[in-house]
Amino acid sequence: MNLNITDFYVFRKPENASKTILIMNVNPMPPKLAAAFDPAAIYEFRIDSDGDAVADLAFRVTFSAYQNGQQTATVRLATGRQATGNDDGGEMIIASAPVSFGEQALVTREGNYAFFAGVRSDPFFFDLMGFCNNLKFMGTDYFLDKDVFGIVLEVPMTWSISCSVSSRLAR
Amino acid sequence: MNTLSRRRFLTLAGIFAVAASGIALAVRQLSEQANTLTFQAVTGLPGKPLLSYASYVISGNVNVSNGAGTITKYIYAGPPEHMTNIPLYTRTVRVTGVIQQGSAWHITGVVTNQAQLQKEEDATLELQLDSSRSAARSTFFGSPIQMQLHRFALS
Repeated sequence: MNLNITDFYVFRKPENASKTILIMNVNPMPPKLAAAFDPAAIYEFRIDSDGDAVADLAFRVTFSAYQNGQQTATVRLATGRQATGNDDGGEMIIASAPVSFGEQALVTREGNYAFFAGVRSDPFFFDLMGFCNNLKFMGTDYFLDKDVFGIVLEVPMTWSISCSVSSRLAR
Repeated sequence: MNTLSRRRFLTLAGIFAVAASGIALAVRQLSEQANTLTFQAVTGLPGKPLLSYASYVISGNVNVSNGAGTITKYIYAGPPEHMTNIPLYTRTVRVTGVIQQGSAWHITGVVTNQAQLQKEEDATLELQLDSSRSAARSTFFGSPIQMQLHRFALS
């Protein structure tokens, strides 16, 4: 199953500065390369909040097996030394969140967290045919009609410039 | 009532036998004549001197006796030496003509589903195969392109 991270975004929630939005896009061009999230993978956001290049927090997202067109997600929060590990440990903050495979965005809210995972329009713009044609770009977007799997997590965390965030996949 | 003498009967039988074997031989030669061209041409995209990140593949089967056949154009992720099976682009082409000139074959065709065509994309295919040089020439979005002939068989 494809485990390709395509995009990674971090930004302050526009209407609430006390919240941060973390987005990881994976699995381009579904279902051609992958029809669902990989249940054997850990999709992880790592946050270094003190600038020592060691993760202090890790949000770990795992998925159930894809069955009958459905899948659910679990989100855990690991802190301290546990955040640097490679397992899926951590305090569960969201359980059994449904993955959105259709047009409707199924958002799960739990306490100060909000979570979405599912198929959405791929935001990437790339004139692939112009690139292939020896960089004779035509302004056409190859990804205009393509989708991608997105993981969106709203967390109660203020974003500062000294904070670094990375995304990681483990299997 | 005319009767057929044994001698005349044997003469006629011999003529029919020779004629029948001649017809059978002609039919056999016709069926054994090579008339199906199978090929695959490949090149990297973008082309040299740029680094290639994708592979352009044109492959097909063409009946050279009646100029009919189907050709498929693909772009796969990865350069030719590391080509993946991830298709980024697929077009099916209906062959409209085949002309042989020595070791070179000139094949023309038209994209069957023209609703797929993108801006500046060719609706027609012009493809030249040169088996003696293991080379092929075509166009990609209007630009001339040189390809390597990876497979060529006339059977």
